[in-house]
Amino acid sequence: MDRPAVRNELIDFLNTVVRPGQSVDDATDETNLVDAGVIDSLALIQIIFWLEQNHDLHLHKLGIDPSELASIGGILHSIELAEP
Amino acid sequence: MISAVTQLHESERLIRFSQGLPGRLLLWAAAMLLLWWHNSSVLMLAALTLVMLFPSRKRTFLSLAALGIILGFDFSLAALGSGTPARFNGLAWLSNVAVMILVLFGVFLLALNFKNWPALLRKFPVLTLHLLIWILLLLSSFPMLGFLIQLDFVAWRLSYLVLLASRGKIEGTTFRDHLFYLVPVFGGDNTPYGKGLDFLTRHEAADPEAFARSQLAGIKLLILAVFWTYLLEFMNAVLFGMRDYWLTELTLNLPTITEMVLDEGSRSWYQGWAVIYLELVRSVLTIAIMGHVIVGSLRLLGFNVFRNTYKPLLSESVVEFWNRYYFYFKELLVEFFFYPTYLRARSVGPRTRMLLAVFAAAGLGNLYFHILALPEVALNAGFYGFVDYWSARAVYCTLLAVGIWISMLRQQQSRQKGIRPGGLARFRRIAGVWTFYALIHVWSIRIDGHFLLERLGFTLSLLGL
Repeated sequence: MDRPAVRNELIDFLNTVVRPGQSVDDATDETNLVDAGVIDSLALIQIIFWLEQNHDLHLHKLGIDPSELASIGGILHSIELAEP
Repeated sequence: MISAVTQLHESERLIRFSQGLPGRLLLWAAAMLLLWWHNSSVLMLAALTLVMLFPSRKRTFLSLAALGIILGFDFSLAALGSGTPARFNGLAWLSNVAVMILVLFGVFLLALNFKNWPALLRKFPVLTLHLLIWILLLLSSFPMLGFLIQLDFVAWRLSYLVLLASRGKIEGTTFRDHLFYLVPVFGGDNTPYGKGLDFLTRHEAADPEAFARSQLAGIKLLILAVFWTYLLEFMNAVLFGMRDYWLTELTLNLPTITEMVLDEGSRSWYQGWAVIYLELVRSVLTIAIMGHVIVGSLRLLGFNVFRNTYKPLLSESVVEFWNRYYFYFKELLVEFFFYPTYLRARSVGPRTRMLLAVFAAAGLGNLYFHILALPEVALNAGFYGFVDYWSARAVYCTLLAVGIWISMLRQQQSRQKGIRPGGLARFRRIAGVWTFYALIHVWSIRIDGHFLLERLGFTLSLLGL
């Protein structure tokens, strides 16, 4: 996986689902975006949907918990897990 | 000036001052005064004092306080099992203390050995736990086991414990680490404020500065709760003429929703609309006061968690209100019902998938939560009694789920289009949210006798029908 490229793609997507007035541009890979109030539960569902559509990720099969998708690092790690 | 007061917990000067001895003393005194005003327990006051003196022993003190709550619990219900009148019974007390500790410790041991569960049970860990809880609830009718009927209080806290185990995060934790939120000295109802160990640990102050910041945020919430309490009392007195309040002579003596539902003659459409909006505001204030005191207490103890209620009346969508009105209840429904359904239902279209998940959470999950909160109805009322008791709530849950689903779809569309309404459009949206929740609130209030048709009649009368 080209991590920097996927990260950029992910940041672009996340910025479309953040709460009004928020941005993930300054977030580190470890920042918990839900705890920081940057995204909410609805956005987490959109992230799951985006991962399924764009990275063929099956969270349930991989045993990934939605709470692990609350940080950029967590999402990237999930994508890596789904890589063949 | 106003912002300096409302954002006092963000003031760097105040945070620095709060870390010194005079600041800590002042914080302690303010906390004691506010907690006393809010009728917090002596155990909470004692636990907070000890935590402030020895912050590194926090979990030990909180667990001891939890034990204190169990030992000092009013076990009058313990007599239920033996069929004797509710009075103190030493043997029943001892038996119930032992049963309670055994149940909590037993579930902890089970969770610790999660990897050894049969595969089928590991697939549905929370469902397994709830089956166990219902079996224990059934046993509550036996002598000396009456206290089991109150297991509903810990049911969702134990669910977070089992969820933690299913995520492989329980290793290395001790019973002490869990006891403090299973039996919380900071107060609460069946909804676990601050969720479970995972969430609380993530929000736990790690240094003196974070602790001071958390405590100041707690003080702010407790002060806010004082204001909301006075506002609620003012509304109760001036608008509804409820007794025992000051200003009762100036009252408008408006009927409550219950009175309007039950008395067809008292209905006029304009008064009906006024009452349902006002009841919505009252309901928001009531939830906000309770949540602010609990979350404020948690913050004083160094767990800087989110508020339970955060300006729901300014919500611009139904789903936003749901998120802001009762945050920890919504989190419970999302965590235990929404995600599991959404993740499993991959074979259906996105809208249907969302519909299924929303119905699982706001519909079925919501109804189940309330059924579990009153287990005696399920155990004793019989089938028809059970259906009759919960039918109004079922209507409420269905309406709520439909509203949230539509709202989620609309919010998704407006996000994709980047729509950010302002001015009059924003006002219209807020008014729409108020109207939706005010209308469905008619179905969620508890009225003895339940009165399904009367509620429908009242709702229709609001529309001039």
